Amino acid sequence: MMRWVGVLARLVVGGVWLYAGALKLPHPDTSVTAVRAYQLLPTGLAETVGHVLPMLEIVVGGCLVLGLLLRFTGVVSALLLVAFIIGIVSVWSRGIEINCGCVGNGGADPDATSKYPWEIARDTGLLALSLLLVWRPRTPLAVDNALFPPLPPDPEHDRATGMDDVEAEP
Amino acid sequence: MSKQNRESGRTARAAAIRAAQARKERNRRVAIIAGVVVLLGAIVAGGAWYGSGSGDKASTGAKVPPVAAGTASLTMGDPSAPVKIVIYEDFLCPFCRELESSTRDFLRENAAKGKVLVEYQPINLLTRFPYSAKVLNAWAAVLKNEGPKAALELHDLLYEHQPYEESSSQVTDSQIAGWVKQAGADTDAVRQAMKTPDAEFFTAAQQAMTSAKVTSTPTVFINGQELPPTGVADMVSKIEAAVDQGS
Repeated sequence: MMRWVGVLARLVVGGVWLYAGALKLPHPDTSVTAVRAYQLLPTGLAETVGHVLPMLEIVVGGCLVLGLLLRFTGVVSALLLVAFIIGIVSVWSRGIEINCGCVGNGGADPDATSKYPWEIARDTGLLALSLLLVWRPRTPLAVDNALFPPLPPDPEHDRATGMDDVEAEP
Repeated sequence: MSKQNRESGRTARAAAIRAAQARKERNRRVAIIAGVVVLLGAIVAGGAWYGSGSGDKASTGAKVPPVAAGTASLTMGDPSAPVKIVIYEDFLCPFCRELESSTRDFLRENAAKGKVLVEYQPINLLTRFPYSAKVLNAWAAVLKNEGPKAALELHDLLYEHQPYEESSSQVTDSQIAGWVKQAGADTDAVRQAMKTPDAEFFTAAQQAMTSAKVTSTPTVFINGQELPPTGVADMVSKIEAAVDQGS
């Protein structure tokens, strides 16, 4: 049962990353503006992040949907979400009103303050699902299962070992 | 006794074989993981590199279009070009920066080909940040004393080095002077002019802004028609379409 929850988590989080990345990918300059709108990173670094982020989101989303290196991609997904939450909390506390630029356009938005709590809630939910995958990366319908088949149980301690924690996970 | 020894020797051997197998399997997994991670990293890096390159291709060595100074503006291209684009912009406005980085090379190339006349009309819209007026004044000093070519240079530099609004007050006078110098306009006349606000220039810029009913930046007019502010990416594709069509 828990394993199918993991599949659902993969599809939801992976789907959101793919969608967010695909919207940004055709417009790298817009992505840079969205990162700059947070006024947080040194300007040179913001430029790089703006260019890297769309592709990173697509790759992370693709890996989650396919089930490739789930523990690793789960960690990357969680780290990105933590960074985004920090970003939103930071602009909120500084009183800067921007569209988070999470999916598509970023930039000034006069109603932004009323949206920040929802954005943080959404990212926290996605963060929880990502962490679930870090904790239990073994899920059905994943490329990982073909690359890393479960090891044959060790006869010396084959009792008391469930599927999920037999071997080192990717 | 000896039987027991054999027995324990066998389990030890079996354990050694299992350990060797486990080690082999572990190595295989580490190799796969490393390979996949490197591949994914390469995809991300490749995509980012492609994205950052597609924005400004062949910016150096392109033909420089003719430039001329207006009252408080700068025109670039052939005055008889079929398409005339006017861009109202603030040097501190983030979306103007994006419009600049997305259209600069395209407009410059097409202005050099005689397909478009571009008028840059910098204005002081973000008045709550002193930086906006300060660099606009520096730009006016360069335009009036060193001419449109240096002013276009400085215009580009100001967007390349645009600070964040919230930290724009940290930009020092000597940094601004450095950009002026980089634009090749570090003369006594310019330095002198930068010291006092150019009231005449600011009035002219203000007048241009009010007569065109400009209330936000960037505001773009294509042959007198205002482009709806639908987001920079969309405005850029409309500008490109208009120039390509020649109307």
